[in-house]
Amino acid sequence: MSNHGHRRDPHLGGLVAAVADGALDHAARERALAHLARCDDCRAEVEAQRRLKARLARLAGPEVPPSLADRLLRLPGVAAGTSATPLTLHPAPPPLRMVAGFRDPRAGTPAADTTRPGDGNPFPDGRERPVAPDRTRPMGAVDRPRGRTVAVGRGRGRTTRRRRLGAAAGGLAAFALSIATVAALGSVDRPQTVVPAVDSYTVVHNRTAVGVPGADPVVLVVEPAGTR
Amino acid sequence: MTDVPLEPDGGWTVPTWEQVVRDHSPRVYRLAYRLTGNRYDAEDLTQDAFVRVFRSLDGFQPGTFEGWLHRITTNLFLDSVRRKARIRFDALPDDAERIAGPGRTPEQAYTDDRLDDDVQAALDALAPEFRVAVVLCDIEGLSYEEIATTLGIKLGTVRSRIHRGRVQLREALAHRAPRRAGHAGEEKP
Repeated sequence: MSNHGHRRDPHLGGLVAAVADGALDHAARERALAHLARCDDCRAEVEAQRRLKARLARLAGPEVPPSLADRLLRLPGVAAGTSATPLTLHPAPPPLRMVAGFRDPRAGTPAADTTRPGDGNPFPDGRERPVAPDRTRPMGAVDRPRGRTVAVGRGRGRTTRRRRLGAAAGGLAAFALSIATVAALGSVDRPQTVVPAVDSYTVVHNRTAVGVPGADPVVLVVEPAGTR
Repeated sequence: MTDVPLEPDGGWTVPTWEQVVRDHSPRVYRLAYRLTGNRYDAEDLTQDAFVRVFRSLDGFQPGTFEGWLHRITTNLFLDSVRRKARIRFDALPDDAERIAGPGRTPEQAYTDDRLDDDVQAALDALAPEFRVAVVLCDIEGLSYEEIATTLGIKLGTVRSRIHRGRVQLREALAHRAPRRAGHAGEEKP
C-alpha cells in the first residue's frame, strides 16, 4: 500500500466492498471518495471488486432440471392434481374464525340436529381427538363429569348435548390437528380436514341466520355469533 | 421479482403450488447451485427449501416471499454445512457434470462453463459464511440490509464478510486461471 495510508488519511481497507457496492452512508461515502481521489491502490481495489461483482452477476443461471421441477410439484403432501386447483392449502384466518364460532355457546345450539361428529370425519384413518373436547366445551356444559375422554364416534345414542359437544369439538379438533400436522410433518396434505367442518357449519348457520351468507363454504368468512 | 397476488381487500390469495414452483424454483435453484457448487446438492437443497415453503405457506406474510425463500435456502445450506463439518462427512464429488443451458453453441458453452467453473470453484473454496454473503450480494443482488436480515447478522458483519469473501475470491481466481485472466476480467496486480 502506498504512503497515503497514514493516520489522517487511512486506506479504505475493509470498506472497499461497501464502496464498490455503494453501501456507505453519505458522510462515509464522501470520506471514501476523497481518499480514492488521492490513492491509486484503493482505487484499484475498488475497481477490482467491481469487476468481480460484475463477473459474478454474469454467471449463467443453471436451469432447473426437469426432474427436479417434477419432484417439487409432487412433494409429499401435495395432493395429486393440485396444480390446477386453487390450492389445497387454506390461509389461516378462516379456520380460526370458525373455531371462534364453534366455541360460542349460542352457536352450539343448532348443532344438536346437525351431523354426528363422525359424519364427514376428516380423518378417514380413524385418528381420534383426545384433547379437544375438554377445551372446547361450551359454557353450559360444565356439569359433564371431568376426566372422561369423549370417545367421539361411539356416542351414537347419547344425549343431544353430547352430540353438540362432539360437533363443536370436531371443529376445533380438526383445526388443532391440521395445525399439528403442519407443525409436525409439514404435510398439509389434507385440505379437507377443514372443509367438511365448514360444510356442516354452513348448514347450521343458514338455518339460524336465515341463509344470510355463505353458500360457498370456502368463501365463508363470517363471525357467526355476530351475524345473528 | 414476483408479485404476491393480492386480493382487493389487501389480503393475499394463496397461490397454487404450481405457481409457487414455477415462479420461484429457478431463483431458489440458482442460489442453491451457487452455494453448494454442484447440481446434486443444489437439487437436494432446493427440494428441502420447497418442503419448508410448503409446510408453512399458510403462515406466510405477504410481501416477504423472496426474502423468505432466501432465508430458508441459506439457513438450510448453512445448517447442512455445519452438520457435515461435525460429522466429517466426505462430500460428494465436487465437479459433477453440468448441464449446458439452452441457446448456446457448444463452443460458447465450453468457454462459459470453463470460466464459470473457475468462479464456482473459487466460490466453493470460500468459507460458507463468506460464500453466502457474496452470493446473496453479487448473484442475488440483495442489499447489505437485506443480507443482514436474511442471515440475522449485523450490517458491519455483512460488510466485512463480503469484503473478505471478495478478496479471497480474487486471490483464488488469480491463482486458478492466470492464463485466462483476460477473459475473466481479473488481472494480477
